[in-house]
Amino acid sequence: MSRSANEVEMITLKACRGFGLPLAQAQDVAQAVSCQSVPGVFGELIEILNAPVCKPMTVSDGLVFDAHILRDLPGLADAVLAGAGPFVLQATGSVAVATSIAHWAGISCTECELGLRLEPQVAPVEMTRCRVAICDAHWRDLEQLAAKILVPETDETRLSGAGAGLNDND
Amino acid sequence: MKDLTQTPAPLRDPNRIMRLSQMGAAFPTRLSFLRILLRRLMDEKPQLRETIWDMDDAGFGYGVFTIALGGQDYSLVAITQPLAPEDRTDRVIAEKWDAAFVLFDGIPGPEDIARIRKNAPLQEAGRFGPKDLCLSRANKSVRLFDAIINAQQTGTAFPEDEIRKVGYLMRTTAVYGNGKFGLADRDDYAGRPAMMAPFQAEMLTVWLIRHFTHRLIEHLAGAALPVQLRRTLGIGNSTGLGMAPFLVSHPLLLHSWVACRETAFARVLDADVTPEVAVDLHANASQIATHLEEWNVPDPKAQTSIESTRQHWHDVVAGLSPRDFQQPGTLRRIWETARDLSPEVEELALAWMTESFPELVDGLTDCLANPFRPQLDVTMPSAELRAGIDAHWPAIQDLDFDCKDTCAQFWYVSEAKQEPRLGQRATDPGAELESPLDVARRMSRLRADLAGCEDALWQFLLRHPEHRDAARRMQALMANVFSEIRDNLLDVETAPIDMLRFKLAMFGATKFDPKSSLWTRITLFSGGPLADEIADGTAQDHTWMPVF
Repeated sequence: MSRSANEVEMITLKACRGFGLPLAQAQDVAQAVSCQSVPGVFGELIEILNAPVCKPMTVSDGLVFDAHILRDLPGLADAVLAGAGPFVLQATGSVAVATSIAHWAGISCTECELGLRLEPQVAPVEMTRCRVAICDAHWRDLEQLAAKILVPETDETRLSGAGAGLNDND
Repeated sequence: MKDLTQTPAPLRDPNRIMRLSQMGAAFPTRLSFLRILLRRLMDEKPQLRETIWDMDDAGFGYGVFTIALGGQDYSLVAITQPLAPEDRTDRVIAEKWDAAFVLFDGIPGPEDIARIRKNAPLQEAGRFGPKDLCLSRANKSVRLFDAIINAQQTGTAFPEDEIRKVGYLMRTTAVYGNGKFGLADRDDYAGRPAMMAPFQAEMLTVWLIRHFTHRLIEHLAGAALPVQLRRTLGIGNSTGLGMAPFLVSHPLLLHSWVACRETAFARVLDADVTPEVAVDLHANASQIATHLEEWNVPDPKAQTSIESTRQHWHDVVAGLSPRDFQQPGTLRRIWETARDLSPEVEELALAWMTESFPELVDGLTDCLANPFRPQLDVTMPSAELRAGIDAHWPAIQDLDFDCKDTCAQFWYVSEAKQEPRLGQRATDPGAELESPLDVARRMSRLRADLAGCEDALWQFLLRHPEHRDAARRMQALMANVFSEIRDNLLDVETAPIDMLRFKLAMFGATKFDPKSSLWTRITLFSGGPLADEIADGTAQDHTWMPVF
């Protein structure tokens, strides 16, 4: 089904927050996937969001170990933009998501023998928000992940919501 | 027209005017979004066409209205349905409404209309497409609706007091846009001349809904309403917490809104006042006094505030003649007096002064939209960022988040129709899922961790990825001084109504009628021109500080 760019951005933002990503990283991922529909990106994203969080990353001689694509790639992209790097992430199976985030951040991400290579872009990649065709199954998965940030209602909280107690109709 | 006028004076201090106590005193101005729409309508003089009116004797059915604006057709598809009294509620968690609306991009064909008639009454549970720009719903003001029909049918007097008190036949409880539920993204149409300023599609939707409500009641009453009555009747709106997070999640847009308003005010404060402008200022000061007299609300606290503003307004302008306004420095002195009296009267003075200088203000309309998002400068030294916090939001240094009152409240989204709510941390469940409106707390934590750090920001953020958002927002604030509300939104004293008032004033709302600290009713387009007046060139905009 065709989804608006804003819908895609918002559901991704909420799903990433439901996963526990810090707000800015969740925003970066959401904006990246709503700007560039890399084939396979939503399937990969859902897989990452359903996997356990890995331990903190370490960097040694440009090799990055235990990097979490969503959590760590924005920061590594900062480093590349600041002139550090290139970096090689020992990560597999997340090429579409990594490419989207890297392009959103303004760096290049390519597959190499050891994993994913992050380096400055030779030429900027155009990022344009547009409607996205996303399959219903992926959408449902994202909705389930996004629902993790919703607070179940109680009788008390229902009665304390804005407009509660309203009984006049002007 | 792009705005090219130079700003002659410094703008007001953002650390004062971005406090909630000041934002919550805002009044509509020439830069309010509905005023911008009305100026364009009055300039272009488009004809509103009723292309379909399929309504039964009880007022249930649908209608389609089309108008050309900025060279593009827009159509309101309006659908009404029976609604049991027990189902009529303004809360977001409602599932049925008296009327549902879609603003369609162009002229809808039979298939479009059938699709919209099926989906619009479902609102959030419906599905919309790229030709649908806005989605809305409204409930009747039952007592006014019935009273007006009754008066019209029996030939008795219209209930003028009630009309003044309520001000509308229907009130919307949401106007969705920008991609919600599959609607068109704003990016798709933001480049059109009539849609460049913020919320123009939403404002057009509401103005067309107002026309529809007039048409519906005339259909039911079997006769046309008097013109003056139709002008008086605007559209009501019930606004709750859903509007508040927008101001936090759109910092650069917030900056643009306030920067334009403040630039306008700075220009006006030292402007030469011609005899014509002096007469206008004098007349508007009297109009404000009458407007304040007519503005009465049931909430005792809000009513006390209005009464205080009435007195303060009298203190500020009493005895001043048009000739006085022409003396150099008079407007600035009046502002200083108002500023020392109360936030309400200061903001009222701003709205009053800017109203009389369209040539200094209206060009800023082109600067209100802001499509950009905060970007990180990762090469900034960490120490510079910390100094930026102290310079641009000094109050952060004094906040103690270990204190219970400092984080007494938390914002969250309820499972029930994803309604935003405000919880009490000590008693309500869900604090672990709180929404990220804790900007002050995140700034405070960032500042603490930046202490003694000599790295570049990218190095700091690799160690502290949790601070990425606060760092980005702070850099945005350093370059866009009005981009943050300078208050802790978790504080025990924080009242969301202040955020709602500010945003609604930017929309152009009048008759703020707070029902609690969480929600308010307001009126839009009351006093505004009618469709036939727009078309024949006789329209006048009386939506600013309306008096009846």
